[in-house]
Amino acid sequence: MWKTDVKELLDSTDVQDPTDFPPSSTAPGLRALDSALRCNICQELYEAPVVLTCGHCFCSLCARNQISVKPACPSCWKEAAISSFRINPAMEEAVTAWKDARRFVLGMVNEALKAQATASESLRPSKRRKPNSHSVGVISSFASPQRKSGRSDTPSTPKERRNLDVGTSDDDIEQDVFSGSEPLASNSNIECPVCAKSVPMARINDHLDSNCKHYLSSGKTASSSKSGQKDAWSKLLDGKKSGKEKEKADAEPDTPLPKASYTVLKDRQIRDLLAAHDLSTVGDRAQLIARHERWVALYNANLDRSPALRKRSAELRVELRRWEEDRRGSRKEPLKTDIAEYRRANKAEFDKLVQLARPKSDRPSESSSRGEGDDRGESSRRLKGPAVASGDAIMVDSDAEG
Amino acid sequence: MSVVYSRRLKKELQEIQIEQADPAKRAAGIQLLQADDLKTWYFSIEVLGDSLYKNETFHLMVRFDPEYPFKSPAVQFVVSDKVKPPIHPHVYTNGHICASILGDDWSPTLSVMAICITIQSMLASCKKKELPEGNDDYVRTAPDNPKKTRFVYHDDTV
Repeated sequence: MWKTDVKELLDSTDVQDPTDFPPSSTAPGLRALDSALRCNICQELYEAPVVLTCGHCFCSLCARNQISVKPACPSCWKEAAISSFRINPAMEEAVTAWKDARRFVLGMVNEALKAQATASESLRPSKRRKPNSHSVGVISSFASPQRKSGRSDTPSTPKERRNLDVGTSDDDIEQDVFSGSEPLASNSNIECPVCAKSVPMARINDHLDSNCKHYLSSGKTASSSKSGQKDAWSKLLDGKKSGKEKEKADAEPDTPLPKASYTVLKDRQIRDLLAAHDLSTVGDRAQLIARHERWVALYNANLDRSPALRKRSAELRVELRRWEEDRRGSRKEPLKTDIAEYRRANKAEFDKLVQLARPKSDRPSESSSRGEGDDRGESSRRLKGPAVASGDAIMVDSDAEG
Repeated sequence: MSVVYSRRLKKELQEIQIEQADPAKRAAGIQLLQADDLKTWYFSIEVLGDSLYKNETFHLMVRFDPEYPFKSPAVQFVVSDKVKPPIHPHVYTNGHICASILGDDWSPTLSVMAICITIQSMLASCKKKELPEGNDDYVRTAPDNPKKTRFVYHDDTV
């Protein structure tokens, strides 16, 4: 009965897992390989992998989340800090390649297993009875002829494709377009589509990035050595300048965002911090802080990717928004029902305590000075009871301990 | 975070499904009873072999919040007409469990199955069936959600 529910739940999304691959008795190493390329926290293929001082590797965002809960490696409990993260480009490269190869390998393995199944049906009393060597043989025989042709035209999943798109910057695309339409020598001049001036082909993108101010080709008269020299110098200088300008325009420098100390900031200042990154400034203080914290984590985790794989700020903003929506959606309910149920379940006890408290006037003032509701008042009182001191359960809040 | 939460739970569920279908891999004595959503799952736990809890079956309720896996799930034994919690020095009669893995020692690299196995072994290694100290006091005042209780883990032997 419940099983159908589980199936529905699982079918609603595509969950990739090492168990997609057959066990090592059939396809040695594949399952282990897939799980080796996965983060132990989110169980996904590594996104922006970082290494902690203990050597354990996690997604940057996962590790940042974990550190905010407890500053230690979740695998070995060795101390860890965000400042000591080291990026792991080798792992990232392996994961990128595996993302590409995974579907292909999976398809191949399944085909091989199918072929093996039909083969073993027709050749049941065959001399090759060892299942291991047999299946491996089939798989490898499938691998070799397909590898050359199949690899490039394997359909990539939408997610992969998106990643690729993210990876290639606009410049690359534009360059592709130009080089695709007609093969131009890199030193030839073309007309800028915006300002209609003649620009060296190789510099057209930088020219466009500089708002059509720089990289104008010096024209055909620029053959004299002097102007050529000048051109070279200006190119050199402009090159640096425009690099900086480009950075500013994108507002995506490589420096990580600093952690803000929210306790000393006023609401308005936190809003300013958010506004500086074009983020929403609605909500109460707690929401603002949570949003900014999450943004800093997302932003800095993104910087732990290799530059080609980095997401744009706009994409990160979408992620942040989705995160907030999810959190809001699932947060409300459990908390509310929890308290209501608790109140209901303990109503008799509350009434009794109220009765007990009435004749003595000092009791209620003690619990009310603690402030926040029945829950706390009770816990502080419970602590003072002699029976509890030796028990192994002490209630609720940290301030009740002192 | 919450994206991690749902994707990871689905993965764990899938893995549990596969394990349960294969008797060779199934953790003996642990069975998924119900998982209609990604908020509350129920397991049945039985201690196999020689132990104080021979032939007893307990039900475990595991509740998740969107902070999972960075925060531990809320785990407790089900108390109803049909199933009772085990009598154990770390299990209160309202089903709450005092185990460090559910609190300070939780790590996001652990899983729901790891919790079930820990609790199973906690029962298996029990030498004397007795209620925890101060059980009545605790049960009287305990919050609905055991995660709101601050347990002090003092006993490393079990």
